[in-house]
Amino acid sequence: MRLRHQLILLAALTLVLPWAALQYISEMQSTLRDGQLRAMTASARAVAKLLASDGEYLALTSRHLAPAGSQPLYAHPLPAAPIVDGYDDEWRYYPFSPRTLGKPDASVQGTVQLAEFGSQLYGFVRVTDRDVHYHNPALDAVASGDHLVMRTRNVRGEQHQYFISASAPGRAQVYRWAGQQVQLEHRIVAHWQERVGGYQLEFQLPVAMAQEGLSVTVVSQSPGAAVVRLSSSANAIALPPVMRQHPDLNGLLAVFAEADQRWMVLSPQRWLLADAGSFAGQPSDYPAPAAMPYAWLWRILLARPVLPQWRDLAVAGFLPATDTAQQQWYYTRDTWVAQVRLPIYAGNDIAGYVVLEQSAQAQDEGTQQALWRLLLYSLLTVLVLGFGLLGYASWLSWRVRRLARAAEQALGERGVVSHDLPDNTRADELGDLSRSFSRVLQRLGDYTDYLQTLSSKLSHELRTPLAVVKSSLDNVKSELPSAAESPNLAIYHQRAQAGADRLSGILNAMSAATHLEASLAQADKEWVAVDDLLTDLVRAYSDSFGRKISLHIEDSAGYQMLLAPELLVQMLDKLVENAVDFCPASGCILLTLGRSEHHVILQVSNDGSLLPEAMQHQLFDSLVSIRPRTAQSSSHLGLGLHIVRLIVDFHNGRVSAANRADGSGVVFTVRLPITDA
Amino acid sequence: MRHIAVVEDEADLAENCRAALMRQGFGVSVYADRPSALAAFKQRLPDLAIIDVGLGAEYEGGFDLCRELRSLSPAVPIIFLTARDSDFDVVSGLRLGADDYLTKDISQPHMLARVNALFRRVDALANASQASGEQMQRGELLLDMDRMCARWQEVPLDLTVTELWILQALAKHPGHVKSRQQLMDAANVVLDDNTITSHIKRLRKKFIAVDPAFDCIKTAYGMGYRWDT
Repeated sequence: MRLRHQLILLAALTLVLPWAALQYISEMQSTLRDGQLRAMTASARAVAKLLASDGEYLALTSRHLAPAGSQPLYAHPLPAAPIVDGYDDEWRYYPFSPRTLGKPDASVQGTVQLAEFGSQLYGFVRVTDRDVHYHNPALDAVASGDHLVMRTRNVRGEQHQYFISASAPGRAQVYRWAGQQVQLEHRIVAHWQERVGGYQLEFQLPVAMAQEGLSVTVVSQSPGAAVVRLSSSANAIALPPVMRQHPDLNGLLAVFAEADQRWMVLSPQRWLLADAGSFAGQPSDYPAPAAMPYAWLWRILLARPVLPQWRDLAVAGFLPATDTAQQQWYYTRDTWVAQVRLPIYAGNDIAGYVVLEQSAQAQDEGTQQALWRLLLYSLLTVLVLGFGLLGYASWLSWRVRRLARAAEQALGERGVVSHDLPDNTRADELGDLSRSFSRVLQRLGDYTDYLQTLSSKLSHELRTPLAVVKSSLDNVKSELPSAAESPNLAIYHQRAQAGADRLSGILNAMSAATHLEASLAQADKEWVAVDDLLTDLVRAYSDSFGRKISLHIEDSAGYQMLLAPELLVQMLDKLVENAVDFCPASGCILLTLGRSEHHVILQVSNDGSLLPEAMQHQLFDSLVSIRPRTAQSSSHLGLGLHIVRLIVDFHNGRVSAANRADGSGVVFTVRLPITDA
Repeated sequence: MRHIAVVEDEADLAENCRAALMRQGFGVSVYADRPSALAAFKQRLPDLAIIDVGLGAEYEGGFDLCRELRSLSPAVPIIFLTARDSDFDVVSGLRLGADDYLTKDISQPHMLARVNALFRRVDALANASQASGEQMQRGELLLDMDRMCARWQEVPLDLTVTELWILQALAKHPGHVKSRQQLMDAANVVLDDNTITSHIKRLRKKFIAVDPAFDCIKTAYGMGYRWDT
């Protein structure tokens, strides 16, 4: 993995930051919620105390004490009066659930719904009875078939019993016993309608008639069958009062209800007596509440504990006795709702309950805002860090690459060791690395320099002993007896002489490069027509090497150049000699002269063996030879191409060697910059 | 008998040299360092001096000795025989008034030829009145190989023996190209190509010093040089 990728990976660690912040927000949220619950408990307790000391309240609740064992009906408040016509058009949409009469598997079942609007009570009874018998006035004055019995106690405490029956769907008759007489009751309006598998009955009566007690009994009787009675409250037990909200109490509670608070008061038997205010996010039946933006994100980011679903107390009208927790969190859609229930003590008796509900929406909004800001900031942090690290990584890897490249090129193809590496003034580790590279390169450079001067030093040192040898041989020769007398001696002398000459030839060749370097310093450049010069040269070469050497001049439009002709010729001598040596007798040697935009390009190419790949860059270094060691290779020290390079460098040109693309031979290319006239 | 002084710190080489010269009938004195040589020169001037540049501890003792010998006598022929072959050394040596500058790997016959040539030149100077024998006239160039001297437009040129021989080889057949090897043979030297090039360059400069319009030594690229009149 590259350095940059590693650092990017490292930068990904900054993602821990938003995670940690999320944890923090999560904890902060739960602390806030605990605080909210405590605050709610405190205010609920205060309200409970207040109510406990309120005589009016205590009187009201005592009136709503249902006799033990009785099952009161709950009158739900309505937003508008239903039309009493026996159809359940309105009732179907009311949110509260009906009260069931009878066992679920019995043949006769019923449900009762009771509601209140204005000073009227409305009721809807639905009876499932496969065999409906209508009232036949001929059989019984009051009710001969299926009917409804309603027991009431009015505000004055008088108890009455009403019979509601119908001879046909439509308006039903309501009778009551007055003494021994049957009397039609007009204050109660009832409508009877048939339905699939039974009938339904809608009725309306003034609150005052049934305020202190109400029970409904469905009576199903048919000839020859047992009479079935389904009662909302057992007839043997005293009549329970109608449980309903009291406007007075609602008014009292409304005083406490602040924004986002819902206060409720329950009777000692947990019937809902008063309900005021509403909390934010409370589901209402009509407009759908707008979901919080990005609530899904909110849910994903913050842990969501398993909480029970919130149920509106007003729907049931009472709090189930199993629900005993004093404080509890609920969900309603995405909102958290806290509910606090505290008993109201009157002395040692429980005189009711105060229920306070409040949503956590306000806090949630705050937390959510904090979360958004947090996400934004951490995103910015991650971005800044990420880009910073990316930039740093790029910079670092750029430096490393630059150093690597410089180190690679320091020992360039020109064999010159430059030990000036980038970054070597920096104090950091890369600077150290650069400096140690420089030191190594410097030593290498010294060594290379030493190698380059070795030949001339060597030739200088060898010359004196060689001179001793040669002069001794000369003396031997002059004092040698004539060849006829001692032929062996003459032969030995001859061999020694030849060896010494060869040694001296080698020494001359070795110092040639040094001589050339010295003569470069005083070489004079002049304007030369390179194409003419080449034409002459190629003719001369063809003669002196005794083989055909061809010349191709592209675009003969004058090749006047400012250069040192002697040196150029010397360079060509070396290149052509080299080509001749490597080219088989049948092969051809081709000189090409061409030009590019800024260079004159001179190529010497020959058929023959190829250059080894590894040596191509060192070819022009001093003392590098790739010639095979054969008997006839007398003294090739690898200086010829070195001289070529010295001359090319003197002309600010470049020389390169390459194999022909088709592998048939080798091309040496010299590029000389075109100088303006 | 002509007397030759050999100043050479390498004893074997000096002895070989002495042997070769004595075989030719010269009287030879060998000195190993500068002070002894100088002391001897002050006693008696040699007829010719062969001097090594590096003398023992004195790196350029030969140059110093040459300068001192020149001040004693402007006419004594001096040959530098040295292992140093850089152009710089050659130029310095010749500028100090040496008559020739040879590298040590020169063969004895070549050296002896030079010594003889130099003595010939000294003799010719001594007998100025004597009629010249072998003379060669090429345009404005007058070569006298007996006297070992050359004139261009009647102005004498100060040429070393090597240069003179090269010039002779070139001018002998005007228009003919002489390769470097031929020039080396003519000059009785074995040199590398660069040194021949330097010799030609110096030769041209000496002509140009006399006649700025001089352009007779032509380069035949790839082959050598030729004399054009």
